[in-house]
Amino acid sequence: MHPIQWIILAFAVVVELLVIAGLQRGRVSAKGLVFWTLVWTLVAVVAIWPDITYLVADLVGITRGADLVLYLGLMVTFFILFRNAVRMEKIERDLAALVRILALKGAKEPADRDKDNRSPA
Amino acid sequence: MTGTMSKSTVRSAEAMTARPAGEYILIPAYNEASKIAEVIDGLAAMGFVNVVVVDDGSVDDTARVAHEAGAIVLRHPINCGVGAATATGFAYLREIDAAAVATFDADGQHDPDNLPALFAPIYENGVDVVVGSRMFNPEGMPLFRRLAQRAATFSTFLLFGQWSTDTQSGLKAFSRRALSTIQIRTNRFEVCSEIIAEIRRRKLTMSEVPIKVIYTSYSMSKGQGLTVGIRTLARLVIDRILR
Repeated sequence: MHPIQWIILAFAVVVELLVIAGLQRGRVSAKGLVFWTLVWTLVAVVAIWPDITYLVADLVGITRGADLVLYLGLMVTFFILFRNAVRMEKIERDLAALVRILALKGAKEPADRDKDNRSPA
Repeated sequence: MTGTMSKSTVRSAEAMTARPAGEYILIPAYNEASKIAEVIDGLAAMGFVNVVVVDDGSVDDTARVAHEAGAIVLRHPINCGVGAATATGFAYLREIDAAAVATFDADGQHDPDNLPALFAPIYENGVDVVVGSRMFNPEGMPLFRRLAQRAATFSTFLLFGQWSTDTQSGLKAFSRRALSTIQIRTNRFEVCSEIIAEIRRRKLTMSEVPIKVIYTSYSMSKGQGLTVGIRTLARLVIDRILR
């Protein structure tokens, strides 16, 4: 194995250990553990047997295995970015809903006008 | 109200007529302490005395100044965006069973003289939403604004299938039916397009009336730039996917 393969393998193992630690601390869900374990196992397998990528690349019409890894990596990155944007949007909406409840509770009537004067009809 | 009448108040006093009961003006405001009293004062001069200001987490005295100027004030403890502030105003107006409401900008770019014509289709023809459109007479509108407005109108039509000549106008009037039906989910500038989308989704009726906008260096500094425009479009796409 070349040094780069060892580096990628070590990186995958370290990140997987961090994911497991995250599960123990409640920061990663069981679903997350399964997803990331699959991802990093795949990375480790490709690092040890890079020729696998040539087989798959050939199947989908890409010449080099490294290109396939790059394309897949970009697709996964964009997917994660999009998913995070959607989640962020949802969090912002939930926060605004909470803020709205507080604002409605604290509504202040005008300082110097009584109710009768406020409906000129 | 402020203690003394401003020049605009005196000028418009003769034109002031009693407005229908239950009619409200909704102003989402963020850091507008220097302008908000003048805006409320101008509205009162035209007979629009029921003003609701939603202070969207301003770091200046917007809430206090608006309250002292005679507005009903709701305050967001943190800044959530103009869409969230409009939604808060709508929620409050539904609670008090408002009969009609017009959204109005806090930076002084809207002229209260446009409001009677804006409300008229609601009272006279039973229209649900009236859009105050700058595009009938775009004279004086900066070129960048005009192009951005066209792009926003086209994007809104592509995403939501509803046409309006001025989707980004902040001056819109809503009937009680529209107020109770429209659900605002977006937090920021995309609210303008979302309202247009809601008109189609809720099968509401819409009409447009021409308005004239006052462009000053102050109001221009408060507008949307290119970055905000691109972000708004991205959020609209996400909103379209989420629905």
